[in-house]
Amino acid sequence: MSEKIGNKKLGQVREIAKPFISVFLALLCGGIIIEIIGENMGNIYQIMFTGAFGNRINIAETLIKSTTLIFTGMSYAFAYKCGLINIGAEGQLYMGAALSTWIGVNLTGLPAAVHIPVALLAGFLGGALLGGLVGWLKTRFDANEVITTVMLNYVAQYLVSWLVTGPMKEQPGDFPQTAMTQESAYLLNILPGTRLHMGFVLAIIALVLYGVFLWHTSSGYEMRIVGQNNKVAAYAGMNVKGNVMAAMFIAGGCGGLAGAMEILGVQHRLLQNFSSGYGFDGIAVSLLGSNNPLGIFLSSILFGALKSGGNAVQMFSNVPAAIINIIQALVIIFVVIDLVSKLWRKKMVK
Amino acid sequence: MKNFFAFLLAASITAVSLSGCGGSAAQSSGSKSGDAADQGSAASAGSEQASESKAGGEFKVAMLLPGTINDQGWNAEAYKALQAIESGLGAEAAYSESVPQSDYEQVMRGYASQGFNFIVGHGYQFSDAAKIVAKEFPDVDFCITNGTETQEPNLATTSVDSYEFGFLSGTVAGVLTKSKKVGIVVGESSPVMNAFSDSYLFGASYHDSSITGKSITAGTLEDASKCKENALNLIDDGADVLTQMANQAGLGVINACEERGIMNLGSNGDQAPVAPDTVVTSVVQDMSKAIYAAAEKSKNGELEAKSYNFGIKDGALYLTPFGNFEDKLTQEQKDAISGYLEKLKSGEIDVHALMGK
Repeated sequence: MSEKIGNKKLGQVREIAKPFISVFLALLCGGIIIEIIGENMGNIYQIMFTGAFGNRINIAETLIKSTTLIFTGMSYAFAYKCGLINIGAEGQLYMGAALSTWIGVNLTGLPAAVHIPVALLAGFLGGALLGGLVGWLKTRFDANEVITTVMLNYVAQYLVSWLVTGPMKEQPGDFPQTAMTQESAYLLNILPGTRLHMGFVLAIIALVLYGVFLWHTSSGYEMRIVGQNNKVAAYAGMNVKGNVMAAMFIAGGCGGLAGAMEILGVQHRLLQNFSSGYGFDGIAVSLLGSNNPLGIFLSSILFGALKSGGNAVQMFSNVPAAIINIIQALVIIFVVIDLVSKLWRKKMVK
Repeated sequence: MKNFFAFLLAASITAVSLSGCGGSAAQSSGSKSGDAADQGSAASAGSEQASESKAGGEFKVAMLLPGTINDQGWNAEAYKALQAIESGLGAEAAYSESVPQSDYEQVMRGYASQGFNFIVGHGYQFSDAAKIVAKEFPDVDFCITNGTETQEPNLATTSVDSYEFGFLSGTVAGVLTKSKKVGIVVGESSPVMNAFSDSYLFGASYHDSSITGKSITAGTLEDASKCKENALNLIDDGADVLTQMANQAGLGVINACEERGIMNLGSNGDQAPVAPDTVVTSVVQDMSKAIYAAAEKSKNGELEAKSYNFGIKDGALYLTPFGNFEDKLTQEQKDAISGYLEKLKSGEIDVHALMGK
């Protein structure tokens, strides 16, 4: 087969096939682990699949998780396209959640048509300000964004812990949590009988905007050039610092929107440690989807399915949920080591 | 080696085609998802294996935990309860660990639709989800540990009785004090801690109305040195028996007592190992017993939509052995303490009625 197709075409096929093979190998390894702990691999994967796609409720649960993952995935991808490594989506998610909760709880008497957009904007700003801070530290002091984003995750997380035990704690209340948001700030349901909310549609729109901006506008082009080689970009007269600031601001905003989705769409009040690592899973989503809109969409569905299928596995079998985390980790490992292209290339050279 | 790579390549190509198939299969099953008749219930999250275990009219208990079962604390208590329920009530038990906040509803609904009869959310944070899911499954009993909100007809809460807890500690302090002054340091002004503090002071003066007590709210659950300062103030004021409830910050109080050579009463867990010559005994609250007692009520069809408080009678509160103080306490003192335990157990002393709470 390989001889008949030209090398360029083969390269494209390989790019497309790569994530699928990575996932397959990860599932295979995960299956071996499942067999080792004495369970039936087929059985477990069936439970997982039914748990993720078995009926409309389960599909909705999977898509709800995908929604948040699309935003955190985009957060990583956007920064990546500008040559930045944003490990801070988790923190940005916390900040976005905090701000949109505040708007959701304290603005009363607004119609949903106003309240929802304002709360979403607040979520965006919460994350964007944290992202912008990273951009500023990077451009002003040349501070490595990997370090600052990782560290700011803790700052954001503890800030939320303080907020819900102090200033934002529900009154009167006994527990470290905020009051419920106004119903006018609930994201509208789009599939009756399930929890699926309009955030999923917003996520798809955001992905389209992401694609259009980066590949079909001149500012997006500029940003990608800065990402590929900022010295060349500077030589060509592009504003490298401005682009870095903008990229981190928008990436942070995406992370913040992920937090807004969780609060306005699913949880409706802010608690400590409310995220189950969506920010970090976003990195995997983005990597597996090779940072393009369709890829991010598909891999967010996969990771959403792993999460909701993982819940089912834990409920209905004796396999601990940790196995699901292991499979997720395996997917990432197989993507990162890029086993596929190494082996494939070898074959071609021969 | 060549063969090995060839094999891997072949495997990879198979993989592509296979995962391609998998993808399209997923889509087709997605499009016809409306007729998810395989499960009967529209709300099921389940699988074939799950429906297998559905059969029979047995008692099935499921538990949602915010952390892992081996945390030696909050979640381990719940797991202990689950094991006891399994063996003691002959129940079929299941649990989900480290359930993420956004999945509370999904997991509860999953268990409820799979025929579980009694579902425990281990922590107040499960309240919102339980209120929603309990409405959808009126025949299933839901119970929130340490929650405050109940909902007719099937959402209850269970916790250890803070008043009985404080009262027991207070009477012991009353028996032990020589200076007729006792003290208590609590971490923060929360319903549980305030109830503990009030009933502690009440218990001491119940034993002997000439005993006076003072309570200080430290305003911290982490800062042990702040609690220690507060404890030293109480000691300077003449108190010779102290207790505390302030999570790890409470260790500062024990430390102050050790330094000044006065007696201390442990709380929550057995605190004697921290300072065996200072901590006379500890009032232990056993959350697992409270969960077990609620499950027992559910099995007998007696669980009502109210807040249950379990205490000494249910084994949810007890005193640890006197340890190093076994020989230091007089027989009279020991008899007085065990007398209170007996009366609380038999219901002869009803703390809530006495305090009007």
